[in-house]
Amino acid sequence: MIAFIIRRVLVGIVMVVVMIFVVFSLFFASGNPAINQCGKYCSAEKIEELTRLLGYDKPIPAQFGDFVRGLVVGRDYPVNDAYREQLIANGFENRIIHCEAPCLGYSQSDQKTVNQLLGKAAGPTISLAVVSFVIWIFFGVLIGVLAAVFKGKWLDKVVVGSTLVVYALPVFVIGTFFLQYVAIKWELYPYPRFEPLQGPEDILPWITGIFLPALTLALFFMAAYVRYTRAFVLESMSEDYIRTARAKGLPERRVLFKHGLRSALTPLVTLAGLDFASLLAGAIITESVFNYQGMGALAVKANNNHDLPVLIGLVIVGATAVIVMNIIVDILYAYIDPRVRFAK
Amino acid sequence: MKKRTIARLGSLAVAGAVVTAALTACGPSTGGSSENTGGTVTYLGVAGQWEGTDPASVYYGNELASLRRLVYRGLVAFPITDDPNPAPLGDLATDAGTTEDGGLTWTFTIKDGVTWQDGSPVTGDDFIYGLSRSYDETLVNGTGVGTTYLGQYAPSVVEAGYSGPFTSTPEATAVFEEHFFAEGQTVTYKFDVAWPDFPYAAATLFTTDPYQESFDDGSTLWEINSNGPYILEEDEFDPALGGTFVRNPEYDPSTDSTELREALPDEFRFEFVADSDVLFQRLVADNGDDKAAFTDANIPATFYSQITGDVADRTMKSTSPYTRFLQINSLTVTDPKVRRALAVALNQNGVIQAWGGENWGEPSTTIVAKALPGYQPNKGFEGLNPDGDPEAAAALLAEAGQPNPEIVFAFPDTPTNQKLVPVIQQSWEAAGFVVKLNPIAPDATPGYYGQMADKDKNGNKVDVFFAGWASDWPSLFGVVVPIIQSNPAGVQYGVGFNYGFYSNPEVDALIDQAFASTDANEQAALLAQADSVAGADGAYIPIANQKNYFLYGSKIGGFLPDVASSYYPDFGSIYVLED
Repeated sequence: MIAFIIRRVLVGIVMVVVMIFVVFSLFFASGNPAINQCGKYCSAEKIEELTRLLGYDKPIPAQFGDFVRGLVVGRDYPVNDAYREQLIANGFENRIIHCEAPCLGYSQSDQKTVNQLLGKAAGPTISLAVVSFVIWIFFGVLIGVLAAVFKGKWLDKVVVGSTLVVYALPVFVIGTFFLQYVAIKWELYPYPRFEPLQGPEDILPWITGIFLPALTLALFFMAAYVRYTRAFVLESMSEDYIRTARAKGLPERRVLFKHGLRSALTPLVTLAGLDFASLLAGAIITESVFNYQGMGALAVKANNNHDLPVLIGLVIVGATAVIVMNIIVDILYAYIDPRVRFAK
Repeated sequence: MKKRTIARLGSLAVAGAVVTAALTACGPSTGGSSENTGGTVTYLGVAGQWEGTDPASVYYGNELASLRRLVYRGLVAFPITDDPNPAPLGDLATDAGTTEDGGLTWTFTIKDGVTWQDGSPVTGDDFIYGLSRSYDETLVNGTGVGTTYLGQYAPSVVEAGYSGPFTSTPEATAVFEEHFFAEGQTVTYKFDVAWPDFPYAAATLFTTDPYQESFDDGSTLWEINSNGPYILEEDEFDPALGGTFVRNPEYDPSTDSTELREALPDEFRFEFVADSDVLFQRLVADNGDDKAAFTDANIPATFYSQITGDVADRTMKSTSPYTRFLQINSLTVTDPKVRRALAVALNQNGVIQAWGGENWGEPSTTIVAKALPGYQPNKGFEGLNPDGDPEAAAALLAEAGQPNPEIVFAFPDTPTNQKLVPVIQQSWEAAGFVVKLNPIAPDATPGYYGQMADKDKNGNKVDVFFAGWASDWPSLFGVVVPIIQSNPAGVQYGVGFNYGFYSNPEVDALIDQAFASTDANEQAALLAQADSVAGADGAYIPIANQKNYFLYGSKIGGFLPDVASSYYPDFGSIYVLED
């Protein structure tokens, strides 16, 4: 088991490094990023000055080297050495911004390090991911199992039909309905605002503020998970060993929970892990509808502003989250299903 | 304001009041008294529109107006008034400034007892330091107002290579210090070119606002160091969520005037929401804290059907400082008759209808907004038919001997423009023009205005192009000069906003006379005359003067769009009504 974990982690690290290099080269291959920071009164001289100031005048391998050094030991901004020296000469060394390792870069248009921006966006995104995950896993699996147990009965038909409807509705329709009708027009629920969770006394406002967006996101996933669960349970309940269990005279409840569900739900671990990881990169539509300032909203903003360092940072963090979750899922899976561990 | 704002206008708010409208509207009156003191006013906005709260980076009219009343007092400020022609009053300075050489040199004396939020006094040096920051590219964050106007009135500082306090050479700094300096509480501004309405600009823009050097640490973009009646409760303003402004314990009302700020609410909460739908749903619903909420965004046309009954009682219409027009490339369309034919043929009402109808704007004969003190209709475009007159235009073309001239029309390729452009195209084709369209993609590099500013239009043939303007301060100098004064000889990029490269010695002479005048009324009259001469010469194609249509909560009092706030609602007068 230990060897298996070490192997997976090493592969994961290699994947992260390769991914960083690919992302960096992709973004920088598309011309001079300084143009995007030049504003509306841009001139050729201004572009030249900004290019130097932001360090885009160096060759791309050198920029990649600086970026990696920033990740490992941190960096100072502005990156241009002459500019920093001039600041010191004029007595303004307090304007030099040190970005601690692992430094992901500096956003000129926000005058903040990418780490600061990501740190701020992480709260709403993680909250949203966790709460909606809990809702969708709990209700998705529960309803899915019920639908399988009552296969063909009216409950099953209602569930199957309604999941289809929910799944077909775009997230922004559900979100807009919750926000503009449930919260604003009918006043059935307090207007959702993100409240950070910093101590036990914050739990109530936090959960109140996050419930509608989390439910919006959860409904979409839940509809899919009800159908996955139903299908997996039905499939495993028709296996030979279930017939054996029933033949042994086990009560039906025990057959379902002890024998049926265990094998039915293992594939869900993989699915759930990856879905959760992708949410850590931000739920763009849900965040936009509710004006939650998470990773998704940050990505939209950075994209609109052509804020390259932030985009690179977001992609690296998002992809790393997926790779890490993948490793966790693999390990969990190996724990649940020993066959995985021994397969070469 | 100006081009950047115009480029994003669709999502921004604009305000204005034909003043009579403000007076006769059934909304609350101004003149809050002490019993209206207290409570929390919520200002609702759309997330992601602010570009900074550092005074060097604030640029949009509504942002300047709100911060001027709450946290950033300047040298001077405009009073809260429905007078369409107010003069600036001393704010941190004792009076509106003095000049003895017709606007070349301005001096101001800073009041005693005015302080920053940490209790330390606001000094003359703080003003010079604040001005110097307006030259730094990294602080102005691409907005460039400071360098644009300072470059125009004090070109020698920019030519010396001055780039702000952090990176300038000692030689460049010396040139800056010859022009702008403080002696004790007296601050002096020496321009190379007379700036007769400098106090008007200083009242509106933050370019000349003071800044406390000890506060300046390289990450000030979203920080606010107040010298006004409120302070920001959070460490930073959040462009996506907003911020809360509470009473400033260091603020001494005896150094200020209720003509400039009544400062009645105990708290101003800026709350940003995802989009204007959510914003207006909340104002229409008028529930809970939203009863004391307002916005400076215009009611979208999709909400007009909900503006009935008591909701309609909570609306106010006003004029706006924004005008829309088309610029003509004078280098390619050289015959004034052909240029005028474009204006005469244009169906202004049809274009306005496509933009949003009568609540959105009204036909105009000039680039000058009705909101500006000294506004006059352009006599050169007198009798222009707002529905377009293709026959008259065809007659002009016949006189010019060019019955079917080809016209290339450039515009930003946005969904709104795609609705307007066919209307414009049809009006011109009816007069005999052969119209070719040149849509510019929104993400083009250089951007739309970058391409239009170029004398060669980025290598493409462009004869006519979309434009819009709002003067950066309430004066005809802020619109007539940048748009129709001839560009200096030899420039490749249009100076100011004269991207049509229009050039007329008669217009220039009238503008020079206005600069030489010291009387505000005479200045305005001369500039209006210059505008009329340009109109008769077909310098541009007027379309519309925009309007505002505001909605506020049922417990909002003192709602007044005025000159001081560029016809956005004035934060200085607003208050919470008692139950």
